[in-house]
Amino acid sequence: MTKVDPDSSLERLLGLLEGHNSNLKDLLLAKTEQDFIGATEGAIERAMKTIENGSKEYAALNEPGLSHLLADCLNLMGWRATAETNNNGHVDVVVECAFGRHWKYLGECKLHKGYQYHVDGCEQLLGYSTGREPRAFCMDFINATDAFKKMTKLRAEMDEKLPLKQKAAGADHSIRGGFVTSHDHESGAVVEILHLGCSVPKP
Amino acid sequence: MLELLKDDTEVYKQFVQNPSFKRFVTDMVFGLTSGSATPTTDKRPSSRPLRGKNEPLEERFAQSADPRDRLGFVLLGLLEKTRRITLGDAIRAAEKVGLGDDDALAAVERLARPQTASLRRFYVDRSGAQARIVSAEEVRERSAKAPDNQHVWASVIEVVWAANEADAIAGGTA
Repeated sequence: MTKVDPDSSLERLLGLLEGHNSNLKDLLLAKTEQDFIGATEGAIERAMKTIENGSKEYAALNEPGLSHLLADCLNLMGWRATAETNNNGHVDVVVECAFGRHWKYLGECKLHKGYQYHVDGCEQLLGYSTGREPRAFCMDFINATDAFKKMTKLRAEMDEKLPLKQKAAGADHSIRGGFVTSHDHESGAVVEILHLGCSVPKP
Repeated sequence: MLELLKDDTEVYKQFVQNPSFKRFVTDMVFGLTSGSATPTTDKRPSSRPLRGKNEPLEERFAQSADPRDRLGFVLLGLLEKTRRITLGDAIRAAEKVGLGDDDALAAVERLARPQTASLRRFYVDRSGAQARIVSAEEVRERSAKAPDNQHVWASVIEVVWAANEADAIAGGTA
Protein backbone atom coordinates (compact mmCIF):
# COMPACT_ATOMS: atom_id res chain seq x y z
CA MET A 1 0.00 0.00 0.00
CA THR A 2 1.29 3.46 -0.93
CA LYS A 3 0.25 6.35 1.23
CA VAL A 4 -1.74 8.94 -0.67
CA ASP A 5 -1.00 12.62 -0.19
CA PRO A 6 -4.18 13.94 1.54
CA ASP A 7 -4.27 16.91 -0.86
CA SER A 8 -4.31 14.48 -3.80
CA SER A 9 -6.99 12.18 -2.41
CA LEU A 10 -10.51 11.63 -3.65
CA GLU A 11 -11.65 12.67 -0.19
CA ARG A 12 -10.14 16.11 -0.82
CA LEU A 13 -11.72 16.34 -4.28
CA LEU A 14 -15.18 15.42 -2.97
CA GLY A 15 -14.76 17.99 -0.20
CA LEU A 16 -13.91 20.67 -2.77
CA LEU A 17 -16.89 19.79 -4.94
CA GLU A 18 -19.29 19.69 -1.97
CA GLY A 19 -18.05 23.13 -0.96
CA HIS A 20 -19.45 24.46 -4.24
CA ASN A 21 -22.45 22.19 -4.54
CA SER A 22 -24.45 21.15 -1.53
CA ASN A 23 -26.59 19.11 -3.94
CA LEU A 24 -23.70 17.04 -5.28
CA LYS A 25 -25.58 13.95 -4.18
CA ASP A 26 -28.45 14.84 -6.58
CA LEU A 27 -25.97 14.46 -9.42
CA LEU A 28 -24.38 11.32 -8.03
CA LEU A 29 -27.78 9.72 -7.45
CA ALA A 30 -29.35 10.74 -10.79
CA LYS A 31 -31.00 7.65 -12.24
CA THR A 32 -32.68 9.10 -15.31
CA GLU A 33 -31.80 11.71 -17.90
CA GLN A 34 -34.55 13.93 -16.47
CA ASP A 35 -32.86 13.74 -13.04
CA PHE A 36 -29.59 14.70 -14.73
CA ILE A 37 -31.20 17.64 -16.55
CA GLY A 38 -32.77 18.87 -13.31
CA ALA A 39 -29.48 18.65 -11.39
CA THR A 40 -27.56 20.31 -14.25
CA GLU A 41 -30.00 23.21 -14.54
CA GLY A 42 -29.67 23.76 -10.79
CA ALA A 43 -25.90 23.96 -11.26
CA ILE A 44 -26.20 26.29 -14.26
CA GLU A 45 -28.40 28.61 -12.19
CA ARG A 46 -25.85 28.63 -9.36
CA ALA A 47 -23.06 29.32 -11.88
CA MET A 48 -25.04 32.21 -13.38
CA LYS A 49 -25.51 33.71 -9.92
CA THR A 50 -21.78 33.39 -9.24
CA ILE A 51 -20.99 35.21 -12.49
CA GLU A 52 -23.66 37.87 -11.87
CA ASN A 53 -22.42 38.46 -8.32
CA GLY A 54 -18.92 39.05 -9.69
CA SER A 55 -20.12 40.97 -12.72
CA LYS A 56 -17.95 44.02 -11.89
CA GLU A 57 -14.92 41.79 -12.15
CA TYR A 58 -16.13 39.73 -15.08
CA ALA A 59 -17.77 42.37 -17.30
CA ALA A 60 -14.45 42.94 -19.06
CA LEU A 61 -14.31 39.33 -20.23
CA ASN A 62 -15.20 38.50 -23.81
CA GLU A 63 -17.44 35.66 -25.04
CA PRO A 64 -14.86 32.86 -24.61
CA GLY A 65 -13.72 34.26 -21.25
CA LEU A 66 -17.25 34.28 -19.82
CA SER A 67 -17.94 30.83 -21.24
CA HIS A 68 -14.75 29.42 -19.71
CA LEU A 69 -15.84 30.93 -16.41
CA LEU A 70 -19.20 29.17 -16.69
CA ALA A 71 -17.38 25.91 -17.46
CA ASP A 72 -15.05 26.45 -14.48
CA CYS A 73 -18.04 26.92 -12.17
CA LEU A 74 -19.65 23.70 -13.41
CA ASN A 75 -16.35 21.80 -13.10
CA LEU A 76 -16.11 22.94 -9.48
CA MET A 77 -19.58 21.55 -8.79
CA GLY A 78 -18.99 17.99 -10.03
CA TRP A 79 -19.70 18.29 -13.72
CA ARG A 80 -17.28 17.98 -16.58
CA ALA A 81 -17.79 21.03 -18.74
CA THR A 82 -15.87 22.19 -21.78
CA ALA A 83 -16.23 25.50 -23.60
CA GLU A 84 -14.76 25.76 -27.09
CA THR A 85 -15.10 28.64 -29.50
CA ASN A 86 -16.65 27.50 -32.77
CA ASN A 87 -16.21 28.84 -36.29
CA ASN A 88 -19.05 31.31 -35.94
CA GLY A 89 -17.51 32.92 -32.90
CA HIS A 90 -20.09 31.50 -30.50
CA VAL A 91 -18.94 29.13 -27.80
CA ASP A 92 -20.02 25.52 -27.71
CA VAL A 93 -20.48 24.18 -24.22
CA VAL A 94 -20.72 20.48 -23.41
CA VAL A 95 -21.77 19.52 -19.89
CA GLU A 96 -21.49 15.93 -18.64
CA CYS A 97 -21.48 14.27 -15.26
CA ALA A 98 -17.85 13.95 -14.12
CA PHE A 99 -18.66 10.61 -12.54
CA GLY A 100 -19.35 8.13 -15.26
CA ARG A 101 -22.78 8.80 -16.71
CA HIS A 102 -23.23 9.15 -20.46
CA TRP A 103 -25.78 11.96 -20.55
CA LYS A 104 -24.83 15.23 -22.15
CA TYR A 105 -26.32 18.70 -21.87
CA LEU A 106 -25.22 20.83 -24.83
CA GLY A 107 -25.11 24.59 -24.75
CA GLU A 108 -24.21 27.72 -26.63
CA CYS A 109 -22.91 30.91 -25.00
CA LYS A 110 -22.62 34.35 -26.51
CA LEU A 111 -22.88 38.03 -25.83
CA HIS A 112 -26.41 39.38 -26.22
CA LYS A 113 -26.80 41.17 -29.53
CA GLY A 114 -30.53 40.90 -30.07
CA TYR A 115 -33.01 38.46 -31.57
CA GLN A 116 -31.25 37.38 -34.76
CA TYR A 117 -27.89 36.75 -33.09
CA HIS A 118 -29.62 34.64 -30.47
CA VAL A 119 -31.52 32.64 -33.10
CA ASP A 120 -28.25 32.09 -35.00
CA GLY A 121 -26.82 30.63 -31.80
CA CYS A 122 -29.85 28.36 -31.41
CA GLU A 123 -29.47 27.22 -35.02
CA GLN A 124 -25.86 26.33 -34.34
CA LEU A 125 -26.93 24.46 -31.24
CA LEU A 126 -29.60 22.44 -33.06
CA GLY A 127 -27.01 21.76 -35.77
CA TYR A 128 -24.62 19.97 -33.48
CA SER A 129 -27.34 18.30 -31.43
CA THR A 130 -27.94 14.72 -32.59
CA GLY A 131 -31.55 14.73 -31.44
CA ARG A 132 -30.76 12.24 -28.68
CA GLU A 133 -30.34 14.95 -26.08
CA PRO A 134 -33.82 16.12 -25.13
CA ARG A 135 -32.76 19.60 -24.04
CA ALA A 136 -29.99 22.11 -24.73
CA PHE A 137 -29.39 25.65 -23.47
CA CYS A 138 -28.57 28.93 -25.17
CA MET A 139 -27.16 31.52 -22.80
CA ASP A 140 -26.80 35.21 -23.57
CA PHE A 141 -24.38 37.30 -21.52
CA ILE A 142 -26.19 40.61 -21.29
CA ASN A 143 -24.14 43.75 -20.81
CA ALA A 144 -27.00 45.72 -19.26
CA THR A 145 -28.98 45.95 -16.04
CA ASP A 146 -32.35 45.23 -17.71
CA ALA A 147 -31.56 41.61 -18.54
CA PHE A 148 -35.03 40.31 -17.67
CA LYS A 149 -36.66 42.91 -19.95
CA LYS A 150 -34.38 41.86 -22.78
CA MET A 151 -35.26 38.20 -22.25
CA THR A 152 -38.99 39.04 -22.21
CA LYS A 153 -38.58 40.91 -25.50
CA LEU A 154 -36.60 38.02 -26.98
CA ARG A 155 -39.28 35.54 -25.92
CA ALA A 156 -42.07 37.68 -27.43
CA GLU A 157 -40.23 37.91 -30.76
CA MET A 158 -39.58 34.16 -30.83
CA ASP A 159 -43.24 33.45 -30.04
CA GLU A 160 -44.27 35.74 -32.89
CA LYS A 161 -41.85 34.43 -35.52
CA LEU A 162 -41.49 30.79 -34.36
CA PRO A 163 -37.98 30.41 -35.82
CA LEU A 164 -36.17 27.09 -36.36
CA LYS A 165 -39.40 25.07 -36.52
CA GLN A 166 -40.44 26.25 -33.07
CA LYS A 167 -43.60 24.33 -32.30
CA ALA A 168 -45.40 26.71 -29.97
CA ALA A 169 -45.00 29.71 -27.72
CA GLY A 170 -42.22 29.44 -25.13
CA ALA A 171 -42.92 28.05 -21.66
CA ASP A 172 -41.83 29.45 -18.31
CA HIS A 173 -38.79 28.02 -16.55
CA SER A 174 -37.86 28.09 -12.88
CA ILE A 175 -34.68 30.06 -13.63
CA ARG A 176 -35.72 33.70 -13.53
CA GLY A 177 -35.78 35.28 -16.99
CA GLY A 178 -35.41 31.88 -18.64
CA PHE A 179 -37.90 30.17 -20.94
CA VAL A 180 -38.11 26.93 -22.89
CA THR A 181 -39.02 26.44 -26.55
CA SER A 182 -39.57 23.16 -28.44
CA HIS A 183 -38.20 22.61 -31.94
CA ASP A 184 -38.63 19.93 -34.57
CA HIS A 185 -35.15 18.54 -35.11
CA GLU A 186 -34.01 17.10 -38.45
CA SER A 187 -33.54 13.72 -36.73
CA GLY A 188 -37.30 13.57 -36.22
CA ALA A 189 -37.01 14.23 -32.50
CA VAL A 190 -38.28 17.27 -30.68
CA VAL A 191 -35.46 19.18 -28.98
CA GLU A 192 -36.13 21.72 -26.25
CA ILE A 193 -33.98 24.82 -25.86
CA LEU A 194 -33.66 26.56 -22.52
CA HIS A 195 -33.00 30.25 -23.19
CA LEU A 196 -31.06 32.01 -20.44
CA GLY A 197 -29.86 35.55 -19.82
CA CYS A 198 -26.90 36.17 -17.54
CA SER A 199 -26.52 39.80 -16.51
CA VAL A 200 -22.94 41.14 -16.65
CA PRO A 201 -23.31 44.93 -16.86
CA LYS A 202 -20.14 46.96 -17.21
CA PRO A 203 -19.66 49.16 -14.12
CA MET B 1 22.82 40.28 -10.30
CA LEU B 2 25.36 40.86 -13.11
CA GLU B 3 27.74 38.48 -11.38
CA LEU B 4 25.04 35.82 -11.38
CA LEU B 5 24.07 36.31 -14.98
CA LYS B 6 27.33 36.94 -16.80
CA ASP B 7 28.02 33.25 -17.50
CA ASP B 8 24.87 32.93 -19.49
CA THR B 9 24.97 35.49 -22.24
CA GLU B 10 21.53 34.67 -23.58
CA VAL B 11 19.90 35.08 -20.19
CA TYR B 12 21.88 38.26 -19.64
CA LYS B 13 20.82 39.55 -23.07
CA GLN B 14 17.20 38.87 -22.23
CA PHE B 15 17.63 40.50 -18.83
CA VAL B 16 18.95 43.66 -20.41
CA GLN B 17 16.74 43.81 -23.50
CA ASN B 18 13.45 42.39 -22.30
CA PRO B 19 11.80 44.52 -19.56
CA SER B 20 9.24 41.80 -18.86
CA PHE B 21 11.95 39.20 -18.26
CA LYS B 22 13.93 41.65 -16.15
CA ARG B 23 10.89 42.27 -13.96
CA PHE B 24 10.26 38.52 -13.66
CA VAL B 25 13.86 37.79 -12.58
CA THR B 26 13.93 40.73 -10.20
CA ASP B 27 10.67 39.66 -8.60
CA MET B 28 11.80 36.05 -8.41
CA VAL B 29 15.07 37.01 -6.72
CA PHE B 30 13.16 39.26 -4.36
CA GLY B 31 10.74 36.43 -3.65
CA LEU B 32 13.54 33.96 -2.96
CA THR B 33 15.46 36.31 -0.72
CA SER B 34 12.35 37.37 1.18
CA GLY B 35 11.18 33.80 1.80
CA SER B 36 8.60 33.53 -0.97
CA ALA B 37 9.39 32.28 -4.46
CA THR B 38 6.24 33.80 -5.85
CA PRO B 39 6.77 36.54 -8.43
CA THR B 40 4.63 39.49 -7.48
CA THR B 41 3.86 40.92 -10.90
CA ASP B 42 1.09 39.76 -13.19
CA LYS B 43 3.22 39.72 -16.32
CA ARG B 44 5.27 36.71 -17.26
CA PRO B 45 8.33 36.90 -19.52
CA SER B 46 7.37 36.44 -23.13
CA SER B 47 10.83 35.13 -23.93
CA ARG B 48 10.72 32.01 -21.73
CA PRO B 49 12.03 29.12 -23.82
CA LEU B 50 9.09 26.86 -24.60
CA ARG B 51 9.45 23.21 -25.46
CA GLY B 52 7.34 20.13 -26.03
CA LYS B 53 4.09 19.30 -27.76
CA ASN B 54 2.12 21.82 -25.73
CA GLU B 55 4.27 24.74 -26.84
CA PRO B 56 1.51 26.87 -28.48
CA LEU B 57 -0.73 26.23 -25.49
CA GLU B 58 2.07 27.14 -23.07
CA GLU B 59 2.64 30.36 -24.93
CA ARG B 60 -1.07 31.24 -24.86
CA PHE B 61 -1.36 30.44 -21.16
CA ALA B 62 1.87 32.25 -20.27
CA GLN B 63 0.62 35.44 -21.89
CA SER B 64 -2.97 35.20 -20.66
CA ALA B 65 -4.37 37.83 -18.32
CA ASP B 66 -6.36 35.09 -16.57
CA PRO B 67 -4.54 33.82 -13.45
CA ARG B 68 -6.04 30.33 -13.90
CA ASP B 69 -4.49 30.13 -17.37
CA ARG B 70 -1.15 31.22 -15.97
CA LEU B 71 -1.44 28.54 -13.31
CA GLY B 72 -2.12 26.14 -16.19
CA PHE B 73 1.20 27.27 -17.66
CA VAL B 74 2.97 26.26 -14.44
CA LEU B 75 1.15 22.91 -14.43
CA LEU B 76 2.12 22.25 -18.04
CA GLY B 77 5.75 22.67 -17.00
CA LEU B 78 5.21 20.08 -14.28
CA LEU B 79 3.45 17.78 -16.74
CA GLU B 80 6.44 17.94 -19.06
CA LYS B 81 8.67 16.71 -16.25
CA THR B 82 6.45 14.12 -14.56
CA ARG B 83 3.79 13.27 -17.21
CA ARG B 84 1.09 13.51 -14.53
CA ILE B 85 -0.47 16.14 -12.29
CA THR B 86 -2.04 15.22 -8.96
CA LEU B 87 -4.68 17.29 -7.22
CA GLY B 88 -2.06 18.02 -4.56
CA ASP B 89 0.41 19.26 -7.21
CA ALA B 90 -2.22 21.67 -8.49
CA ILE B 91 -3.16 22.88 -5.00
CA ARG B 92 0.47 23.53 -4.06
CA ALA B 93 1.22 25.27 -7.37
CA ALA B 94 -1.82 27.49 -6.80
CA GLU B 95 -0.71 28.33 -3.27
CA LYS B 96 2.70 29.44 -4.57
CA VAL B 97 1.10 32.04 -6.83
CA GLY B 98 -1.42 33.19 -4.26
CA LEU B 99 -4.42 31.31 -5.68
CA GLY B 100 -6.87 29.02 -3.88
CA ASP B 101 -7.90 25.37 -4.09
CA ASP B 102 -10.79 26.27 -6.39
CA ASP B 103 -8.41 27.90 -8.84
CA ALA B 104 -6.20 24.82 -8.68
CA LEU B 105 -9.04 22.50 -9.66
CA ALA B 106 -10.36 24.88 -12.34
CA ALA B 107 -6.89 25.33 -13.84
CA VAL B 108 -6.12 21.63 -14.08
CA GLU B 109 -9.59 20.94 -15.52
CA ARG B 110 -8.85 23.50 -18.23
CA LEU B 111 -5.98 21.23 -19.26
CA ALA B 112 -8.50 18.42 -19.70
CA ARG B 113 -10.30 20.18 -22.56
CA PRO B 114 -9.96 18.77 -26.07
CA GLN B 115 -8.45 22.00 -27.41
CA THR B 116 -5.86 22.22 -24.64
CA ALA B 117 -3.76 19.33 -23.33
CA SER B 118 -6.58 16.73 -23.53
CA LEU B 119 -5.65 15.31 -20.16
CA ARG B 120 -8.02 12.88 -18.48
CA ARG B 121 -8.90 12.65 -14.82
CA PHE B 122 -8.03 9.29 -13.29
CA TYR B 123 -8.73 7.77 -9.89
CA VAL B 124 -5.90 5.50 -8.75
CA ASP B 125 -6.55 3.08 -5.90
CA ARG B 126 -3.30 2.73 -3.97
CA SER B 127 -4.64 0.58 -1.13
CA GLY B 128 -3.30 -2.68 -2.55
CA ALA B 129 0.14 -4.00 -3.41
CA GLN B 130 -0.48 -2.94 -6.99
CA ALA B 131 -2.12 0.35 -7.94
CA ARG B 132 -5.27 0.10 -10.06
CA ILE B 133 -7.47 2.54 -11.93
CA VAL B 134 -10.93 2.96 -10.42
CA SER B 135 -13.66 3.81 -12.93
CA ALA B 136 -15.60 7.05 -12.59
CA GLU B 137 -18.75 4.94 -12.36
CA GLU B 138 -17.38 3.09 -9.32
CA VAL B 139 -16.43 6.40 -7.71
CA ARG B 140 -19.97 7.68 -8.33
CA GLU B 141 -21.63 4.59 -6.90
CA ARG B 142 -19.46 4.42 -3.80
CA SER B 143 -19.68 8.16 -3.16
CA ALA B 144 -23.45 8.17 -3.60
CA LYS B 145 -23.94 5.30 -1.16
CA ALA B 146 -22.04 7.26 1.51
CA PRO B 147 -21.12 4.25 3.60
CA ASP B 148 -19.60 4.72 7.02
CA ASN B 149 -16.16 3.85 5.71
CA GLN B 150 -16.24 6.32 2.79
CA HIS B 151 -13.63 8.47 4.51
CA VAL B 152 -11.22 5.53 4.64
CA TRP B 153 -11.93 4.47 1.08
CA ALA B 154 -11.70 7.94 -0.48
CA SER B 155 -8.47 8.71 1.36
CA VAL B 156 -6.56 5.95 -0.47
CA ILE B 157 -7.78 6.95 -3.93
CA GLU B 158 -5.40 9.35 -5.65
CA VAL B 159 -6.81 11.93 -8.09
CA VAL B 160 -4.50 12.36 -11.08
CA TRP B 161 -4.66 14.06 -14.49
CA ALA B 162 -2.61 12.40 -17.23
CA ALA B 163 -2.76 11.51 -20.91
CA ASN B 164 -3.23 7.80 -20.27
CA GLU B 165 -3.62 5.17 -17.55
CA ALA B 166 0.04 4.18 -17.54
CA ASP B 167 1.16 7.73 -16.81
CA ALA B 168 -1.57 8.11 -14.19
CA ILE B 169 -0.48 5.00 -12.29
CA ALA B 170 3.26 5.61 -12.62
CA GLY B 171 5.01 7.51 -9.88
CA GLY B 172 3.09 6.95 -6.73
CA THR B 173 2.75 9.57 -4.05
CA ALA B 174 3.79 10.91 -0.67
